[in-house]
Order: sequence, then C-alpha cells, then structure tokens
Amino acid sequence: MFDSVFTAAEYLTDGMNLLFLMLGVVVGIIFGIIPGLGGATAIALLLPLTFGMQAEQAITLMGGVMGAVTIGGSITAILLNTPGTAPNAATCFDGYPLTRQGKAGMAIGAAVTASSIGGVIGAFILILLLPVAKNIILYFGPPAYFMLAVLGLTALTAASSNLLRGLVGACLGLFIGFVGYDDMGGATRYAAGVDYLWDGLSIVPVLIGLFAIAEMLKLYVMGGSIAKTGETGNLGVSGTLEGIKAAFRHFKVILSGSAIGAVIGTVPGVGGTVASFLSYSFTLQTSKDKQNFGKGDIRGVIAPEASNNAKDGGSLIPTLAFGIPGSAEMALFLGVLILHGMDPGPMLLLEREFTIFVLILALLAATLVSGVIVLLTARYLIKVTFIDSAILIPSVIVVSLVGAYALHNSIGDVFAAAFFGVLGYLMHRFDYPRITLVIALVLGGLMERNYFQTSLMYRGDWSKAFGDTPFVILLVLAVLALLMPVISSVIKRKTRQSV
Amino acid sequence: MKLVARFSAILLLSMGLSLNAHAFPDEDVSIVIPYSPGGGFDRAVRAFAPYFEEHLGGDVTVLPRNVPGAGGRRGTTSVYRADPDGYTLGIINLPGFALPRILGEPAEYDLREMSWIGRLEAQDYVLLVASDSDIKTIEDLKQLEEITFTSTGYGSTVLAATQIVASALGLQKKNPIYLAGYSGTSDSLVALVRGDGNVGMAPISSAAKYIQSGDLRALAVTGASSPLEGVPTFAEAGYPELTALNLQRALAGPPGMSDELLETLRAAFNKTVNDPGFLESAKKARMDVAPLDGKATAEAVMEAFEFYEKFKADLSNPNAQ
Amino acid sequence: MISRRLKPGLIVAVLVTVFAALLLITAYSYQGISGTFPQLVGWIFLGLALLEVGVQVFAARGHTQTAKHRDSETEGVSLRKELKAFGWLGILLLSLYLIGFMLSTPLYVFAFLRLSGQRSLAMSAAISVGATAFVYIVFVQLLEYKLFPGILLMG
Repeated sequence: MFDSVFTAAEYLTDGMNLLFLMLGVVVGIIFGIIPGLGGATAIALLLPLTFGMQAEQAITLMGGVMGAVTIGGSITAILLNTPGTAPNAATCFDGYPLTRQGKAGMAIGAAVTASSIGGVIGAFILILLLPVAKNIILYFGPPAYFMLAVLGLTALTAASSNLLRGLVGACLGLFIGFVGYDDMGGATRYAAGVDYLWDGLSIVPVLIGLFAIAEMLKLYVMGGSIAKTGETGNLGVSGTLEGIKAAFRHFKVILSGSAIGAVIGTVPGVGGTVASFLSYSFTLQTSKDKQNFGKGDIRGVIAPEASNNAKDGGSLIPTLAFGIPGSAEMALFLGVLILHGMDPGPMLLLEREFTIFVLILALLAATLVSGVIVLLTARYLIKVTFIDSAILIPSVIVVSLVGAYALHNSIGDVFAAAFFGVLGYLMHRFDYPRITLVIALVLGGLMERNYFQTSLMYRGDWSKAFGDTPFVILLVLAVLALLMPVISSVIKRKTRQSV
Repeated sequence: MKLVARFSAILLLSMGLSLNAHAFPDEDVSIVIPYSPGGGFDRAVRAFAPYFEEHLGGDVTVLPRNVPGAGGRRGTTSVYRADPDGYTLGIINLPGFALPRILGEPAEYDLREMSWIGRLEAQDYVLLVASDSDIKTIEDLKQLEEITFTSTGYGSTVLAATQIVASALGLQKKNPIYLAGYSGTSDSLVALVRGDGNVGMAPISSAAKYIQSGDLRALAVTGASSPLEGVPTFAEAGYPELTALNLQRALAGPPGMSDELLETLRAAFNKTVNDPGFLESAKKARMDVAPLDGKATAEAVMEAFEFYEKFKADLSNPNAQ
Repeated sequence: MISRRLKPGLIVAVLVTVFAALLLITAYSYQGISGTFPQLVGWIFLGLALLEVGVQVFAARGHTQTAKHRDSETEGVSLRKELKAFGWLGILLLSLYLIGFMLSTPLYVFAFLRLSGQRSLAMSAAISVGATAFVYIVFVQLLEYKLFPGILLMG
C-alpha cells in the first residue's frame, strides 16, 4: 500500500498534473467565496474540460476544487457574515463578530489553519477507514440516522443563548424543511400550489438570505462599514499569525472538530453542514468559559472549519465504497469518476488503489495550498470590510442574488433568498437566533425520513431499535447532550462549594 | 454592366440567404436535461450531443441544458411548452415522467403528444435479495411471511416497478412493507445489503456491481433475455406479464412538430446511434444503448402507458393511511 | 418607558403564535404520515410561542436586561430606514423579475449609490459598471450561465 502512496505523490508533482491541481484550487477558492456557487457548481463546470484527460488528472483537478472550496467559503463567512458554502455557516457565528472587532486577520488565520489541519486529519481517517468502508456504511441504518438527527437537534439547546426563542427558531426551521413534496406520505406540504416550492426550499438560498442579505439590510439600517474602525492592529500579517497561533493553542478543538467532521461526513445527504454545526455545538458545550461564543470566540471559528474540511475525507467513504454521494458535490464527483471509467463500489477500492491515493493526496495538497494562498491574500481580502456600506451593500446583494439564481437556474431561488433576507433581518432585530433555525432546517428532513423508515422496518415495534448498536450509542450521546448544561452547572456548584 | 453584375450578385446572395433562413438547423439546438448535472441522464446527453451535432449538419451547436426540479417535471414541461421549431428538445425518462399522469396527479404535459425522435437507452429491472439471505428463488420469496421491500419514494420508477412485481407475484396478500423512504436507488440497494429489508428491485445497471461483488443475489430479470448468468427472466420463471417492465431514455420534441422537421431530426438521430464514435463514447459513459427509431419510440410510449394502466390499481401510495 | 420598549417583543410573540396556529391547522389537512411531524412540531411550536407571549407579558413587570442589551445594538434604528431597506430590496426583485440581471444590476447599483449613498455621478457610474462587469465576466462568460433575462424580455 505504501508504494502506492509514493507513486501517487510522484504523480502529483509532475508538471501537468500539478497545474491541474493548482487550477482546481484556484477555482475552488473563487467558487467558495461567492455565495451560492460552491463545490458542486465548480465540478459541474469543470466536468466537460475533463473529457480528454486521464482519469487521474481529472481526479487531481476535482480534488483540488473540493479541498479548497470550504476555505474560500470561510472568508466570506468571516468577513461578510455570509457562508460561501453551506458548511461554512457555523463559521459566521464567531468569525463575523471577530471581524467587527477588527480581528478579521486573526479569524482568517485560525480558520485556514484549522481547515488545513482538519483536511489532513480527514484524509488520514479516510485512508484508515477505506478498507473497512463497506462495514461502516452497513453499520449505520435508519435507526442510527434518526438518532443522529435527534442528537444534532439536542445540540440546539446548547447553541441558543435564549432557550425559548432558540426553540421557536428551531420549530420555524423544521417547518421550512417540511415545505415541498413528501415522497413518503405523498402529500405536497406548505406549497400553496407554487411550483417552485414543490422541491422544497434548498439550503443555499435560505443561507444566502438569512446571512448575506440580512447582513446587508442591517448595514443599511445602521450605516457605517462592517468593521468598526479602530483596531486595525489585527489585520495583515500579524493578525493572521496571531490566528495561526491560536489554532495551535486550541489543537484539541481541531482534533474534535476533524473527528466529528470525518464521521458525520459519511452520512449521506447532510454531511458537511451538519458536521460543522455539531462540531461547533460540541466545542461550545464542552468548553469551560462559554460566554464569548457567538461574540467572537476563536474556538467558534476553529471547530467548524476543522470539521468542514475533514468531512471531505468522510464523505468520500460512501461515495467510493458504494457510489452513494453524500452531497451534490459528491454526486457530481461521482459523475466524473464514472465518466473516466471508474465504477465506485466494492470493486473500486481493490482495483484502483493508485487512483484513490492520487485523490487523497490531491485533497491534502489542496487544503494546504489553498490555505497558503488565502493567508497570502488575506490583507487584501480584509480591506473589503472597510469599504463603505453604500458601495458594499448593492454589490453584495447583487452578487448574492446572482449566486442564488445560478444554483438551479431558478428565479424562485432569488425570491426565496430575498424573503429569507427580510426574515433574517427581522429575526436579528427581535432577538431570535438564526442558528437554531438553520440547524433544524438541515436536520429536520433526516429525522423525519428515518423516523418513518425505522418505524416501518420494525413494524412499529421500537423496542427492536435497542438491538441496533449505533442507535443505542447515539441515544446515550443525545441524552448526555441534553443533560450537559445541567451536569456542568452541578459540577460548577460542587467545585464552588469545595473551595 | 457593373451595375447589373452587382445587382444580380446581391439578388443571388439574398436568394441564397433566404433559402438558408428556412433550412433547419440554423441556430443552436438545446437538449433539455430535466435533472441536475452529474447523473445518468446528464452523461447520456453529453455523450450523445457532439455526434448528433455532426449528423444534424448546419453549422450549429447542440447544447445540453440542465433544467432540474420537481423530479423532472420542470424540464419536461419546458420542452412540452416550447415552440415546435426543433430548437428545443428534451431527454425523457420513461416511465418516470409518465407516472404523474398515470398515478392520477395533475401533470402539465402529456408524453403521448410529444414528437418522438428516438430512444437512446433501455434498461431492464432485476429482483434482488441479500446474498446472505435464504431466499434463492422466486418460489422461496413467495413462502416468506414477512416481506419488506426497500425502495425509493412514491412517484419513483423503482417503487412503481416494485409494486407491479409484488402484484404479479401475488405477494400483496402477505401485506408487504414498503420501506420507501430511501433517497436514491443506491441507498435502497445498500439498505438491502444491510438488511433493512429483505427484497428489492433496481435497474440492472445500478445493481450490477452489487451482484458482481457478491453482496446481492438476483432472482429474476424483466425483458426478453437475461444478461445475468444463471438468472431467469420473469417470463421463464412463469410471469410473462412482467417482461415489458423497463426503464427507457428517449429524445423528444414538443408536440406539433412538422413532419419534415421530425424527419430531419430522426434521420440525424438514427445516424448518430449507429456512429461508432458515439458508441465508443456511450460505452465510456456506461450507457445501455438500445436504439429505437422515432416511430417505434412513439409506439413504445403508448405501450408503456397501456402497461401501467393495467397495473394502476397496485400503484397507490403504500404508506399513505 | 420600559413597556414601550417591550411592546415590539410582545407583538412579535403574538404574531408568531398566530403563525404557529396557522401552520398547525394546515398540518391537519395532510393525510397519514405526511401530517404526523407537522402536527407534532406544530403543537410544540404553538406551546413555545404562547410561552414566549407569557414571558413578554410578565417581564414587563420585572427588571429587563434585554432592553438594556438591545439599546446598544439598536441605536439609530428607525422604522423609516427599515422600510426603505425593504423597499430597495423589493424594487431590485421587481426589476430582476421584469428585466433580468444584466439590466437590473447597473441600474440598481447606480440608483442606490446616487440616491442612498449620495455619491457623485462619476463614482456611481463607475461602481455600477464595475459590478456589472464582474457579474458579466464571472457568470456569463466564464461560467456560461444564461442569466435570467426578465419576463418582459423573454419573448
């Protein structure tokens, strides 16, 4: 196996292939930055270019894109409170407040470092798990996925500063998720006859609205620029260095984030976004001093960014092992594989070891290279936040709406984004957290679908679910997550008493 | 003299131009793919388009265009409503796009009215169980008390196929459970391997790798002959009514296209599917090329409607209370 | 004083309750398992919303941290500005729907910079051209998207 790794590494450093990698990285960063575009769109666009290429070249190109996209996305998340891609959403919560405090450089430095290391860890986990990939996928069934969704939703209780309003936001998020055709029960829900809503509301226009547009509305109403002028010290090189150091200081957060990212990334359908939220939540819940989360705690940037790069490793497991794409990005990547004669499935891992290592190394290289590129260009990117709002607002709104349109060539997405922009503004105005809405939206479908699958599977007898090990493990974790606030306050009281 | 020469030159030129203006094609032709990029339909059209372009003549490009949404209905509706001038064509999933109408749902298009240019691919279905299961033949399956099918959701072709097979095999009286919530065929097949359910259906091409790797066992296939060794067709196993159950991908234009336009397109289509370059490309894109000319395709569409009408009573949502 | 600050919170809570009730009632029109989760979540939503109304009513009596916190965040927020913000967005949407992206972008950016930003003619023109150029180069040329042309121009 190890010689495959070396030949793969050699392959990547060969001129033409290196060029493809760099091309992929640059495209990935740009597509990551522009909200609405993302890994899936980038791959879709580059797909025709790969027709004449060797399989490994196409893979290098795509690996470059996938490794770089979420790093690009973190920039907009941090600077403009707009997730460049859905998995960057959690990065907004602490990244943007840091920018407002003038510490954008630090945030970017930390995000990039966390991303790169997370990507490396994710790649290693992929290598480790690939031989047993099949067993892993087979291990998790509907009962486990249901409980995973419940676990994610219990993370809500920790994520909201105002519990009651947080839960209200979550209910809203669940209802948004209900919109559309339900292919289990057969009813079309909450669509009021509008064709566009038949497919449901896709997460990207919702995110663009709730964050980018809402932010621009806020900016309009309050005036000024994004960064409150004053502390310019943390921009530029020293700022980013500070961020890099911070990331290493909180290495544990990177580790937990990466682990969560890689594992949750294997769940088809929700991988990246859920992973970053869970990672954020987990770090939040397990930290001693939590009051700065949501206001600019650097760990709130490190955790999700580590996980959203590690998830690439994770989401390749079902893709390569069974041809089950974990996300739109993976679905397209699958298309690339098939086009070049690779048939994902139990046979692939045995037959194409070299190609797979090229992919893994390309991913690795991409995270590192894109990290370096972003760090070098950080100071110019940060200047954006000082642009006067009159210029910034129309520009960001226009580009965001174009991005929203570009996703599915649908003007409906544009209206949806605008609608959620207004909603996002109102939620901020009246102090309702948006984070719980997003978490519930992402997880609701997973929970409902797998609830009914499990119920059908066991013919209504849920006691059988306790025979499913992952179900039980996740149930215990969910209960722990629910009780965590109680447990930690009890511990705090005890330690205070013993002092 | 010079004036006459110039005048006749202009006259001839404009005559030539006006002739050209009526010649099809003289602008780009789009083929609408009613799904997002990356899937099987997408690959098929992208393999097909460049060769179709060649055989169509004229100096135009054939552009694949993705119009996803509503399970394929959005793209199909856009083709149905387009001008029948030959510049908008679409790739159609049969019976997928016919199902809404057959299931009695409001549909903005009727496949029977569209102008069929030709069929690209056809795939048969296979009945599957996990390899570690005790079920070795259809008869074994019929002995089971608890039958649980894994499938994709209501409105999908796999679920319809599953229900039809269940009906033809007389399994309905055992009150089988349809685990019809999986997001894709691959998911439902993995679920079968995992043991969430004990039997399932899938197009042969989707299931092939699981059969090859030994994770799933095939019990029977639809269609006239079996590409799988040792696996009988449903006809051979005693259920000939299931032979016509299959999945097809065909090229069509909006209703009302003129005969000569249709001729041109069908001719180009026929040349393309016989072009060895295309066949090479198709193999790489893992297409199951099974061409039918335009007229035969139109008949196949009608037959498909008849087939599903026959089984209509079995196609209601198994999980709706 | 305090009650005036809290009134918006109460109004919002009541609106949310009404909305939750509507969602719940609609949920009952869905048969079988399509209705299960919407109904369940609907009840929870209604309950939470009512709780929030209660909190808003009773917090009017006690001391209010929230009002103080919001003061610093919401200085300078006026209803007028908010309506203007929504208005700009609405106009942009209408324009996009009618005449599409390529025409709306320069018009909107230019208008915004002139009317709202009070920028000079030259500056407004320059930035609107820049934004349009960006959209054109990246989306139309590089990505070869057919951007929405607007229903008036779709022909």
